[in-house]
Amino acid sequence: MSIITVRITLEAACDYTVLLNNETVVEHSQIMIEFNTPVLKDHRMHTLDIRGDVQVEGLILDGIDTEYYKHHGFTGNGTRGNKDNTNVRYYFQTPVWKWYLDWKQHDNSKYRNLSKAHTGFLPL
Amino acid sequence: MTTLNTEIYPKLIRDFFRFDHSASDGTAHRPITLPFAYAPAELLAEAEQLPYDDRTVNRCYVWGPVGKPDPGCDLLTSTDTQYTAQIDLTSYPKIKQFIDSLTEIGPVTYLTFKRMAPEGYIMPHIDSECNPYKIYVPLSWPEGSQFKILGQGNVDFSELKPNLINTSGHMHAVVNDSSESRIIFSFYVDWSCPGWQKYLEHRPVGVL
Repeated sequence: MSIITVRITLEAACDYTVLLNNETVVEHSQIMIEFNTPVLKDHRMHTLDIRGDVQVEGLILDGIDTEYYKHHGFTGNGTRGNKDNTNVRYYFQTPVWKWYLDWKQHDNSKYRNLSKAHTGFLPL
Repeated sequence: MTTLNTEIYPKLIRDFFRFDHSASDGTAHRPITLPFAYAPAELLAEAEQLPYDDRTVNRCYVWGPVGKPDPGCDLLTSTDTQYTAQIDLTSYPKIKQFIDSLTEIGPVTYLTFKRMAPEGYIMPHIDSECNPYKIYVPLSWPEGSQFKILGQGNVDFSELKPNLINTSGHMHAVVNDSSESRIIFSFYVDWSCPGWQKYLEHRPVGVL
């Protein structure tokens, strides 16, 4: 079980709602928000939704900067990225360090890198 | 478990070193014995004089493909067949002798020296665009230096043992949690060459 801090930074201030595992955590309008999660089961997939007309510029989970993972959000229009006018959803697991290293390893496999080199950024 | 002494490291590194309690099963790294004698202290004395660059972890590119700018590693996509010294090795006779001994086994495709400052680190990463197997030869390894591989424990550099490491398939990170600089060099080889192939064939555990 884990309780982690979540820090989200947006490109610009706007009205938005943050949901964790489909439960509203907070409604907010500032460019940056940080909050503690409720207890999360480890090694399960959790969802983080930022609902609104948003562009996510930073996502720090449990004090760990997830860097370019922000571009791997699931957007309201069915594509992938960090920007949408209705909703951007991220999946993650705890412990964050383990999940993030595992994700990063797969995202940087030689097969993924060949695809990226050939066709540019290919969100999966 | 390794709890780093200092809080300067990013949390991802601190958590990785603290909570990854894995041990090596031999599939990602293992010590190897090179078939010639060398004195690490003599190599270290020369390595300290090399012309390092000013990257966060200082590098000195010593050996690589003929007629090319530094590719950064032995790239998987490389079709090079000729390799040569990238600096004048006249002032570094022990290093030159070491490389000559390596090339008697088979082609060496890329070799760099790296100097990490006290409290230095390299964030977790994989070298997936590079030749998968790399040999590391530590010349100094202060207490507090760690080379950690996700799910595969720490590389055993005790007594300055060389190690064969699969850096392209495993996330790894390095710290020098000490007050001394540490110097290591690493090289890639042509693993299709029979002289080098036997280092992949004679494995004590697992399949590297």
